[in-house]
Amino acid sequence: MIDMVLIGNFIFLTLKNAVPLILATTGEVITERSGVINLGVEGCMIVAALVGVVATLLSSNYLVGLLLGGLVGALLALLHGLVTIVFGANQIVSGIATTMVGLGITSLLGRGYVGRSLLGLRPSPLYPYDIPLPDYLKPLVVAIVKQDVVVYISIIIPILCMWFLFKTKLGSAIRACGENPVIAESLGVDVVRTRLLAVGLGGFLVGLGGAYLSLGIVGTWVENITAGIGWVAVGLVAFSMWVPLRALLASYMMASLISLSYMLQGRVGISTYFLAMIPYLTTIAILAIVSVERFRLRLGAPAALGKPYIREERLG
Amino acid sequence: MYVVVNKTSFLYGNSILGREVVLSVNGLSKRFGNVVALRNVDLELRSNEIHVLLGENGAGKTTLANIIYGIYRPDSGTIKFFGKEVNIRSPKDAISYGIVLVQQHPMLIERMTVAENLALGFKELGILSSPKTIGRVVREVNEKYGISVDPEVLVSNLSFSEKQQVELIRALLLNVKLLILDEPTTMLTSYERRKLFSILKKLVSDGRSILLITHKVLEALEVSDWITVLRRGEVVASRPKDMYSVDELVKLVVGDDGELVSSVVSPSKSVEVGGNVLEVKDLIVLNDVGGIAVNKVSINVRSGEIVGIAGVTGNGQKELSEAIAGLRRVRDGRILINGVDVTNKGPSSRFRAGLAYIPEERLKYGVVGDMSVTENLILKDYYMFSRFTLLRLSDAVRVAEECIKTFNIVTRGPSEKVKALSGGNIQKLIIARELRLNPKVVVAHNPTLGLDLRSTSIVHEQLLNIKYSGSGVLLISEDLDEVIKLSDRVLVMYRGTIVYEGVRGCSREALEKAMLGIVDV
Amino acid sequence: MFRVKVLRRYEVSSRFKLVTYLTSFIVGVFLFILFEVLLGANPYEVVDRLFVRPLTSYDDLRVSIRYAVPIGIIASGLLIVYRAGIYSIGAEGQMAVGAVFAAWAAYTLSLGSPTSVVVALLVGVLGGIIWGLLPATLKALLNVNEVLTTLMMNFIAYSLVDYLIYGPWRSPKSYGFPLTEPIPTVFTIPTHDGVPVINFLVFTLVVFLTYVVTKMSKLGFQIRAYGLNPSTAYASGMSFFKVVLLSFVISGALAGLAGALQLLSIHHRLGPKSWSVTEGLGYTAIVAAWISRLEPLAMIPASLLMGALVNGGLAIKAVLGQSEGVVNLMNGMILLSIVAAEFFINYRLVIRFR
Repeated sequence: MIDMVLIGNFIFLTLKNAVPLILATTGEVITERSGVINLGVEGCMIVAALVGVVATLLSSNYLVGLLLGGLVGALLALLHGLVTIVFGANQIVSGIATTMVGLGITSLLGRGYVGRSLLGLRPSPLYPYDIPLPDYLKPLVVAIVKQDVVVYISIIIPILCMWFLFKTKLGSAIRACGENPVIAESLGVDVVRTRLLAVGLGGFLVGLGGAYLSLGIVGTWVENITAGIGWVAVGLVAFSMWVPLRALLASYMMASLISLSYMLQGRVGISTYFLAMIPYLTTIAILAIVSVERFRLRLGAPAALGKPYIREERLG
Repeated sequence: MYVVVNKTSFLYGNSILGREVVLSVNGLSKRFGNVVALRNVDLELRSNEIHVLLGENGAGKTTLANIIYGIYRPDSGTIKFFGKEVNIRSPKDAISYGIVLVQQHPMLIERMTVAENLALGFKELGILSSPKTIGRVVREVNEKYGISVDPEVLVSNLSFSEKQQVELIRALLLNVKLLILDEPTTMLTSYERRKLFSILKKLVSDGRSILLITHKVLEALEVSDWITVLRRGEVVASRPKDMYSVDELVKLVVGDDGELVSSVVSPSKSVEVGGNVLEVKDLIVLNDVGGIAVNKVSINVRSGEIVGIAGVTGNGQKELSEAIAGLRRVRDGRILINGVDVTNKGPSSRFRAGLAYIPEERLKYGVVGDMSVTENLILKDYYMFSRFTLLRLSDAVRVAEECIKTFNIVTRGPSEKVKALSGGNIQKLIIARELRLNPKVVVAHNPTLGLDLRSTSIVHEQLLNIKYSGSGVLLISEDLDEVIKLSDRVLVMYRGTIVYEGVRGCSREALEKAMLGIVDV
Repeated sequence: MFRVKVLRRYEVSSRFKLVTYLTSFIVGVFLFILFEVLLGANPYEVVDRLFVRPLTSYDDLRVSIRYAVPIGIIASGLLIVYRAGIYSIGAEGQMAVGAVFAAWAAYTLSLGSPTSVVVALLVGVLGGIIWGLLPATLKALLNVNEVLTTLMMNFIAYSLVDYLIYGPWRSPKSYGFPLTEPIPTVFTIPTHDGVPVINFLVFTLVVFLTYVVTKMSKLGFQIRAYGLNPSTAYASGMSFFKVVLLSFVISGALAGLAGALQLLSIHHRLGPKSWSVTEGLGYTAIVAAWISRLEPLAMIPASLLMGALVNGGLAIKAVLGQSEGVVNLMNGMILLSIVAAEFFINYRLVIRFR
């Protein structure tokens, strides 16, 4: 007989674990659509995770924690944005540096919060009541229904972003900056401002994801809480071909693998440490897959991704 | 007896005077370093007028347009718009006055629709509104001016002519009063040109003015109300169209020293034609979006001959040229260089077989801008300059100095960074480098694109020299004049296939028609 | 208000570049110090611990050199990949795996000295190379983004080391600390006054070889071409595959070598985090590489500088009771400032007030 409880657990974990991935990937999709690569996602996420915990403790409200986490994520992303968009610096190195800053700051500032309990302040299930259903159905429904509101929001956000990117003028402007900033500028778009907006917006979503990681999933602050999940998100962006809806699917795929690796711990003969490698190996694999179809899927990439744009005055 | 007009105080007829003066340029001068681009230029443009700025390449027409559009600042002189003196500091400024410049190559985002492109600059549209709503405005404009562009189509699916029309719509959405068009007809078929002109005539009938820049005399006479001729940065004539005769106009444009391109270099020697140095058989190449760009094309070039491929850019030439050079994979077919099958093998296999490549995009495929002249000259055979596995650049420097002298490359020295060189000199460098390897066949793609007259004739000379020395040349060019002048055999490429083949001396009209896809069976 | 104009610079003297980079470096460090002050540290203490002592006091100088050596070796390898336009950040993982391989050699092989050391080092080099092969092949064949793949390999390396020290290599004598057994003495590299002189010699050799390869070899020429204009380099017949693979092999080898050296001369055992062989130097080396502007000769002062800063940073951590994040933060701020400095080298700002 199929163990429904097991499957129910699996679905529950997956839906929950996917949230930071969905938010971070979608956020980075927006940023990269404008032509800017933000490799500081890991740094933004971890900073937001810490701020989320601290803010929640101080305000006794996890929504405040989430929002402030998002804000802080946006701020750090904008630092990267300033250096790369305004100063035209190398986006890759700047992103790596931003992550270092994020990791360093949280390591220093977070010492007092390691393991602090968030009892009662964490996001709670939206539907707290019991569900009167037979045993073979109940675990499935519970897994879906007993999630906190953020999980549901995380499904709506990519849909919203689809509308935003493809059906609004601002979304078109962002995409134009990513395709050809020179032409975009001549068509009337303020490339610098639009890119900064995209970076900030993306950073906010990334921050939301990071804050949920500490508030909703782990439940407290520990050092290196992100363990590379931000980087995985960056990989997922390419895999989802810069389309938010696909980012949703890709995130669920990755989250299911992560949940699987948790659940296999101790059951199968593979050491925990090797199971822990799964998300990283998978990321490498999907990056390879994306690149094989390079003629087709490369078309999804914003043409001007990674190239700095400086609005210079001609000396004339 | 015709009078050359320089000042506003010219009295002629009554249909022209009485119209409002829209743009008045006085005493405009501009120099770039030591080069004088414009000298004391006066110009007057009125409403309801198509004013043609006529002149050869390098005469200063684009510079003048760029000044009016705010891309450059003049050294001296004034510009008055509707009688008020204006100081245009940037294109944004110009647009705010109602001046719009349409460049030669359309500045649109390929992967977005027409509506999305136009919506970007449409201030009246809110940031969260859908770009589709602009479609209604577009359709109105279409109706009114005889334009036929579907706002929901992706720009990449439009023809060049349609993209140009989108630019016109954009200008209309910006409430353009003075529309400047820079060489709008270079890539249009005759039919498309006539359509463009009819749209322009409708535009001016509403009270607007158009400044049309061109080097084609016949066109100027076809569409203009008034023609101003620029030569070497100076206005040599400015009168209503009817006051010119064709011959006179040509002479005004060209001047008296007869430095006309077409007569400088004419192929004189006859060369013995040998076996195939380049064979392309049933080639199928895909473009960047997965469609078929080159559709079962077969070409052969023999030693001692120049084969030219004419055609409007965008009919597969880029993909063909890249495939032959080894920069693009081939879906089907064979490429043989000197009998050696190099299909789908990398670029190095091509040189080893005897191919030289002069790319259209010089800076992308031709040179490394941050490297020195010497380094660029040995880019393909650097390993020949090594001793004990280490590079000895000193040997290379000698070679570089020779090349600089032989090919007349204007540079400060072998160690100057190539990015500091002018386009013409970069092209000379590329040619020098390719020829150093004694190739059996040279593929040149738009080799004189963007070059001034002198460099262009030098390049033509080089191509002919290659032929005389017994090698073969495949010349792919959007410039029909160039192809006709240099080729022994002419092929026309249209929509990825060769639709016409002719030999030296064949009918120019037939070629032009073939470029449109019109082939008499 | 004021109006800012951006003008491109055409002629930049090397002296100007040097001054700008130094200034940006100082700005980065200053920002770090500022941050420390905000955390409540005494600024004089910070500067003293960060700069003064590591470079002046004999004791601290030795430690600084001890850090500078592996940084320099790794950075030389990074220099090569970065010059080719390949942004590999996998030095940390390659270093760790190099140490793992060297440890394996130390535990399993029985050789006499000095062969033992040499063999262990070579095995470490092999480890580093192997760890870089997957990202290298993916990049060479499919042009897969190397930033992500090398980074993923780092995380995988951490897991691998964890597995070993908690599992098969766990020392029964470690009383709860997850450590491995110390390696047999025949495999250790002697130090004089705490400074492994042999390592230093290796370092100088590496810098010299790097100089030769980058400036004078055919590979160096191709690397430079690809780094400056990959499409032209490819069109000129230079093999993308060869350049990518060789650069990765060299940087992997050097990172593995550094890891092995660290194990054999200083740590003598594998452990997690603070006892671990890498000490985050793989990332610090990235900063050193960028500080040196990818110039081999500048590598020497850059490594020394970063070695001193790491020393100082860890001292601050100990003295002021902070965590290792200090080094990360410092690295990040310096890197950001340097990267922003590029702008001022290529462009000039003109600010007009109205």
